[in-house]
Amino acid sequence: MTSHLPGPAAYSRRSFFDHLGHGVQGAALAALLSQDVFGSDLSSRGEARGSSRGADLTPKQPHFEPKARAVIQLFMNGGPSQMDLFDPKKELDKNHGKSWFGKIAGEVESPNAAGALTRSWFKFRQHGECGMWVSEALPHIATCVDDLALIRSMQTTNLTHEPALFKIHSGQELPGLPAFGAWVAYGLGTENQNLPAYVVLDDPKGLPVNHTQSWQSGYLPPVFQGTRFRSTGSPVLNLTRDFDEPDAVTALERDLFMRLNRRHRDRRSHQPDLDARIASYELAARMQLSATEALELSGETQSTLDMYGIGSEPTDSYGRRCLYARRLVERGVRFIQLFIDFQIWDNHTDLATGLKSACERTDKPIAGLIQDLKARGLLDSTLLVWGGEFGRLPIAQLPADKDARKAGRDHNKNAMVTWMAGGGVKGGVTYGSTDELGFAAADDKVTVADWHATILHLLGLDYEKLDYPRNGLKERLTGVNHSRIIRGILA
Amino acid sequence: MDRTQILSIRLVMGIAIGAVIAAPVVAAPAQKPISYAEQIRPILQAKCIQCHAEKSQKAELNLGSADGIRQGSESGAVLVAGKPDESRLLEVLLEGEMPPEGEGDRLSDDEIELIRRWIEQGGDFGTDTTGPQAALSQHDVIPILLLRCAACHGRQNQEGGLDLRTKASMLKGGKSGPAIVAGKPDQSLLITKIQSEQMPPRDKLATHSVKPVESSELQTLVRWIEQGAPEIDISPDVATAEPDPLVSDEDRRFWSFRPPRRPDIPTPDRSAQPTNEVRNPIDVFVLSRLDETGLGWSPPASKAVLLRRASLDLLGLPPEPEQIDAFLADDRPDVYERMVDRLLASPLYGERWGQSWLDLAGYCDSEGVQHSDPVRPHAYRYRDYVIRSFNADKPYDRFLLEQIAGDELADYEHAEAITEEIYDNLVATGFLRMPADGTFAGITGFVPNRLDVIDDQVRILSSAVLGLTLRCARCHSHKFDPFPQRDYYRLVALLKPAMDEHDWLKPTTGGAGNAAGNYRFLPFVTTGERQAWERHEQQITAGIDRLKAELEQHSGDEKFQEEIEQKVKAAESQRQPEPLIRALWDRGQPSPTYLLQRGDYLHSGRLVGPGVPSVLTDGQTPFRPEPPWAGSTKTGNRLAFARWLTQPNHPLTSRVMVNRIWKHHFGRGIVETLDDFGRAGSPPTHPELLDWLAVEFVDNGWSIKHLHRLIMTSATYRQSSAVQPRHLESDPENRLLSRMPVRRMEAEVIRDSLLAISGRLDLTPFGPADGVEARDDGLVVSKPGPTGWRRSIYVQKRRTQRLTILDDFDRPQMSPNCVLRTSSTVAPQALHLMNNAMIHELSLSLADRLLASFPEEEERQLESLLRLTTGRPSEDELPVLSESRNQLRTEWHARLSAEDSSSDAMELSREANRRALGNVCHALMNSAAFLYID
Repeated sequence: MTSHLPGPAAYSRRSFFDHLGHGVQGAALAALLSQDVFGSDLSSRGEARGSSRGADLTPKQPHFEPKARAVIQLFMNGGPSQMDLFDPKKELDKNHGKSWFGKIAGEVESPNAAGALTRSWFKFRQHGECGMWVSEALPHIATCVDDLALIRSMQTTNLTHEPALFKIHSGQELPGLPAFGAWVAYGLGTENQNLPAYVVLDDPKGLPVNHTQSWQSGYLPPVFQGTRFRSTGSPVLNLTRDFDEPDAVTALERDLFMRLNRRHRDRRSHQPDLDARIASYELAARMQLSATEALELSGETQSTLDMYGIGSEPTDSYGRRCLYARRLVERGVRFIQLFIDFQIWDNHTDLATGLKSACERTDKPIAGLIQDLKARGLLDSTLLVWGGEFGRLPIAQLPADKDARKAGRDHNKNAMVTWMAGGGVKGGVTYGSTDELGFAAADDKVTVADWHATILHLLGLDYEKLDYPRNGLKERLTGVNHSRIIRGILA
Repeated sequence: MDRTQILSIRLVMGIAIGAVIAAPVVAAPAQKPISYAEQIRPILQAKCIQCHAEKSQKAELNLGSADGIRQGSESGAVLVAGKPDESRLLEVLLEGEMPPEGEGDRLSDDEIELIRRWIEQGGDFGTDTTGPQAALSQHDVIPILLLRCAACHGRQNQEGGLDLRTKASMLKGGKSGPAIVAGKPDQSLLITKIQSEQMPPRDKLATHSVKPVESSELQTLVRWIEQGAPEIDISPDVATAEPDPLVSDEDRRFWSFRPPRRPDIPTPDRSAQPTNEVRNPIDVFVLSRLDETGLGWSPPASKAVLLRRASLDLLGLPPEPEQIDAFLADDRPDVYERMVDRLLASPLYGERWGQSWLDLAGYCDSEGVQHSDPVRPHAYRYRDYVIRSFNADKPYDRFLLEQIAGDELADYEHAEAITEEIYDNLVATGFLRMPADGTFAGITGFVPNRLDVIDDQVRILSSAVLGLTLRCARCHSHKFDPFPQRDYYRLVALLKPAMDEHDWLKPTTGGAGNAAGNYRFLPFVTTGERQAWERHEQQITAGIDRLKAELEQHSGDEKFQEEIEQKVKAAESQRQPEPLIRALWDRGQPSPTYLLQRGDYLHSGRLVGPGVPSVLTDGQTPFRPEPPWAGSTKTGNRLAFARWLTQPNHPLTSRVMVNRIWKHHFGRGIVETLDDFGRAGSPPTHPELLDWLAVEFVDNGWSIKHLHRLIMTSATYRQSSAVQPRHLESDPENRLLSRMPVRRMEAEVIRDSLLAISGRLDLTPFGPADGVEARDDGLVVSKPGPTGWRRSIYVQKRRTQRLTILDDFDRPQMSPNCVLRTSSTVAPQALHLMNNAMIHELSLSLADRLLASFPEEEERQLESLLRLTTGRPSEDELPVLSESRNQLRTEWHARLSAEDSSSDAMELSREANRRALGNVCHALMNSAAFLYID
């Protein structure tokens, strides 16, 4: 069984088999890596019965030829302000200071703090050959616009962080459902069994609003949930010994339990789960090496580090995670999700400074990632998706003292801006539009389900076929209704 | 090509065809208006009315009248005037969906084109009704007023003395006068206040979870008042003596919708079965299927394997070495049966089987949804109730009755004393309070959020208890099973007196100790507990009073004052929170329940009353709740539901439960889809066995322990788990039970067993949950008590902080519950067992335990270790362990002496020995022989 996907040579499955250690038999590993492990007589997986994919991480055939083989989700928790970043509004400038609350009262989270229509604090200019409008807050990303497909007309369904986060991460507003990355891991498996299929690079400064629920597997088997890689210390939980012991002792003990396990298995023929378990210990040992190596930046050149803003503030922390993302893509990880410090884009007040600071922390690292992927020929097969959980309102949100100079903007579910770049995406496109004031998507509206369906599409997955049977329903990321592939941004 | 494209192409084709056929009409200079009465109605009458008439209303659609067409279907509007391509009525005709295959003649292309043009022209009904706008009634405005106004002018609050829930109360009005003046919208305060944006008040929107009135809603209110605020008397759609036209007798004949019947026990061909005895009827049913394939049973498992299997199955803990020795030494013929009885009598049983019920209920110790994830400090009482119920072998019918309608079993408000029984009844209703619930906060507490909570609850009830997928009917009639959409809303109506989205009780007090107000707590703990708490508080108060009195006598002495203040503070900190029950109770006066088109709270359909799925009844017995006792304000809805559910011949209740118990013993249900006994579910592998078990269960007083005993004493259960080549040929998936499956321990069993063998398991039962802690590196660990850690069922289940070891070994997330756990084999499990500090600590505890039990007897230490971890006194592994131990000891000795050459040689050897044995223990904890059950 070989994947037809172009994988990095050094980590192909072939070489993986070639380098099998002495402790595990090829057959056992093959058992672990084959869908049969989970489909034969293991009755405890009843719920996976009839599922369209297996319950393991072996590479799966996509439904059709994919354009991208990996996704990097640059998640911007808090709701970046569209009319201050990517969606300039002349009418908003003209109507600055006019009252407008009455027209949108039901769409305001904090009605008591609502102010008048407020123009952007930032100047806009056209960039690149395509002439895409970007505000002065994002000078580095502005240099990459010819690689971006900007979506101005996206909408979501809830204007509160938690449900909106669940929506963007799992397709529905409620907790307990599989994250988008878990669906991708379920649909495609992964190319490098020594690393998790779905890696989460969260910020040591703070988890996103829904904590670890942002990368859960929900009702999908737990094997598909996101694995957090920490930026400092041991990258994965329990990856290294959490106690003091000489290596020679560890090796002796390991020999002992592997001998015991093999004896146990040899007396029980036709029990693939026991083979799989033995193989899982081999994989664990490999993961110890691979995960540590993946986050090791000492081999990167100074110019690469500079490109990401590593070594200088305020970009060092996020820059590292962007560079880790590239290294993980190179090593065959399927889905990488980057977070930054709780919800820095939630600029209810002091938007002028708050938004600027959020941009300063992320702008250069993201531009660096795009350029680096491009230079290495990886951008064609890697899909970058940028965006938050919702957008913001054209009216001001006032602080307690009602000082309009310190105003920000409240949440807005009717319009949000996102962009994609890389595998299968047409660069330099500005897709869809909002109304004159930027309050709501107007033309070519894009729902969260459309957005999910499009990303799956670029990965070679049909959103209507990627399903999982549960309680009488074939569950899907996009829910029961029809979605639309955003054709206008496809290359 | 997506749906809209298909539609538009079909439309173009439709138009083209229409153009050809109807050319003369199209060519006519002025398009002649199409008459509904003369041209459209006859088509609908001929082709559609069979299913979509006033009475049948399939998909909640009545095509028999103009009003019915305007009302739309369960999917919303079917006719959008002037827009054929947005009209569902046309879409289903063009796509060939309607009439369904084999259920009547298709419409001709001419007819479809006529309908298209009629819609294009505006879909006018002519003189058929009162005009383009239908007459409104109170049922058009009440849903709006409940949604936008009831938070302040409803059941809980009547700001300004105004209640907007009925026409009468609107006419009565509040302090400012009547809210409506019939026929005069501009003189109706209701309208003018909304128009001037005074209502709902802007500063209350967020705190009261209310959105402003939409302009279309305002128009409806205006029109209703214009029309004179007419009321019509329609009774809600409840099950009556008249059968539901959408559910046929044929539907009722599906196997799982008919009551189970005790089948005859077949006579198996005994010659095919040389090795095992048939021990009870289960074996006969299993064997008769095996005989068909020529497969027999596997040979019986050894005694040691059986003891371990039974212990882990029933208690979730491995047998102790002494128990193993005693069991193996006992050669009485009924030694196995005695062992099963002993296990069933153990209090550890409820802690194991209670967990499986908590999975079904979706038990969690926190609310979830929001970042703050508030803890449910009182939820543990329900967990304890479940454990006690399993231990007491509470009859399953009673167990359900208490959990579904415990508040309607006794008049707790007027009881002289709260007995254990009354307390249990109320605690049991916690079953209906388990879904994740963000309605504690204004911003996640809007009506649609509340409806989601109710939906989760319906889903828990239907998947866990009924084994059905009723939730599909929230948005549309079920695709596979005969559940019209109204069946879902009947259940919603049934719950409404206790769970009313327009009269909502919040899930937490937001940290404030005082639970007065509209929260979900009842103070009716047992009189004993209540009095003990009151005494405790009184003592503290009295102590504080004394201190204060002393203080008065010594006023001026600053140092003394400070000392006393410290003492007062210390005394205050001893106060205990009021003991409360997290419950659900009927509060009477429910809001009306409307069917929601497409499940959308903004689109109310017809009025629905409480009831049960029609297909599960004879269709002729009305559902009649009655107040549970004289003078009660409760509706008795859930009591009637629970009594219906626990009838001895209920088609599903007993079958679903015996199937579940069976699954926990054999790894697979007789019906594999534990939560779907409908048409889309799996058919039973042994239908007669299922029915026999179901009837046997009910006939034995719904005793769950009786079922365990039956199953576990069967020869089927006592088989070996070895897989033979013939099994792979004839029964690869073990559907026929030609052997026992090899299974990995479940997450909680792994953790509890590791603690138990290490001697670090604290067996203290019950009470508030033990806390968890999220370390900086992300590992979530449980906090130990003075003597170790308690069983996993007592560790706090916080939605945002999931214990890592349980997470790694597949403990499910609750969404909203878990009906069937999955089991994975992945590297993080190996990493956890190899590298985690707590596992390492436990391995040293185990080594210490062995060294203390058998000082200086190395072989017995290892023997005992094997017994503890694998349950088998296996001889041939001893040399392997012994050899490794020697090597490890040498290695440790070298390391320890290099580190510290000064220490006592004896001490050093002892420590090297201890560490080496610790490694051997750690290796066994990582072994498949420990983690898997033969």
